[in-house]
Amino acid sequence: MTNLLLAVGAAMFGIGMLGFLTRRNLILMFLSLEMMLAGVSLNFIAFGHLYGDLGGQVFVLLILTVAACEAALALSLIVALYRSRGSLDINVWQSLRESTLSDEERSELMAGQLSDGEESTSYGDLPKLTPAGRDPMQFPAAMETSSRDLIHKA
Amino acid sequence: MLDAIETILTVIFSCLTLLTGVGFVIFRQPVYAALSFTATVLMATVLYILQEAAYLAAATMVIYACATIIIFLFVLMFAQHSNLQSYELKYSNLGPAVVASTALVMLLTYAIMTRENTQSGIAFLPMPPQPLATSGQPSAGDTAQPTETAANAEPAPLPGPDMSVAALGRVTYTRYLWTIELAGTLLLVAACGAIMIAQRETSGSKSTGVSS
Repeated sequence: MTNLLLAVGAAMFGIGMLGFLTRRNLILMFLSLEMMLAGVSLNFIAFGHLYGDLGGQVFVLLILTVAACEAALALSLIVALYRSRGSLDINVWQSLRESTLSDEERSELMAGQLSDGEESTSYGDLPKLTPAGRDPMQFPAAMETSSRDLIHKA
Repeated sequence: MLDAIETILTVIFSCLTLLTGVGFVIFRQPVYAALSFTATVLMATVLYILQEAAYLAAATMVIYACATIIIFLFVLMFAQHSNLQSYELKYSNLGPAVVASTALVMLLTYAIMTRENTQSGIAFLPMPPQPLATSGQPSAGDTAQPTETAANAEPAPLPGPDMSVAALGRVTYTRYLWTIELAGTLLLVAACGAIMIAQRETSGSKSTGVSS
């Protein structure tokens, strides 16, 4: 019985992970996070019942609290982002990612990693973070407008 | 008899949980996805009740399935366009995501199954049966009991009243008091943060919001 519940919790976590990775709607991505949290809660309760320990239930109470906080903050952020760009697409905010590589280099790198699989284990190929003290927004055209936009909004 | 009913109910509601969870991933329309998320949480709530976590079932039902989902739906209605957008029609990274999450679930299921087969009182930290509610007998001998079948076979380590709401409240406000206080502080800080984020946006950039 406990095994079944643990498996259901694992499947809920997997469903949440799948939703988070495949969805591009901001709200649904956060709902997927909540789904992962629900799977973990089910695991805590099953283990707590198995061992007769109420610590699992207290931990689930904590998870509920954290999920509520996360939902409040995430939704206010989503509303702010939506007001800024008028869309819930997460790809609209792609310009916020690290930008030491150009788009072509990045796509080449991703293609190479996907095709090579496990053979390419040299860590020199991985994208690098921006060095400290430098402006991370180095895209020429698109970044100009968006960074100005952001500064203007702030 | 009661055990059989409990088993049947657990199986049924586990299947319903998985079914609605799959619906959450499959539905393209965000509102349907959110509603099937609600259904998933409600089905999991029934599983909570079957695991003698009545308070948590009620709390999850109220907090998750009502409050959080209503707020999510409100934001969804506020920000959602009437027809499906291009970013909702097709999934991104569908192949790698399916492979990764399937592998994760398979791995976890394998771990759970091996846990049953290898008598894993050793694999997990064995807890004393009643460490919280009463004085708690240390019971070094009970920790060697291997699987949950043994724990289910004899009802002594898992008495019903000790998993009750009253026991949870007693434990919450004695042993885990600091945890609860910390959670309350976290809620307060998060509420302040959410208000800050929303307020600055409305007062600072009303003109840009209108123009865009």
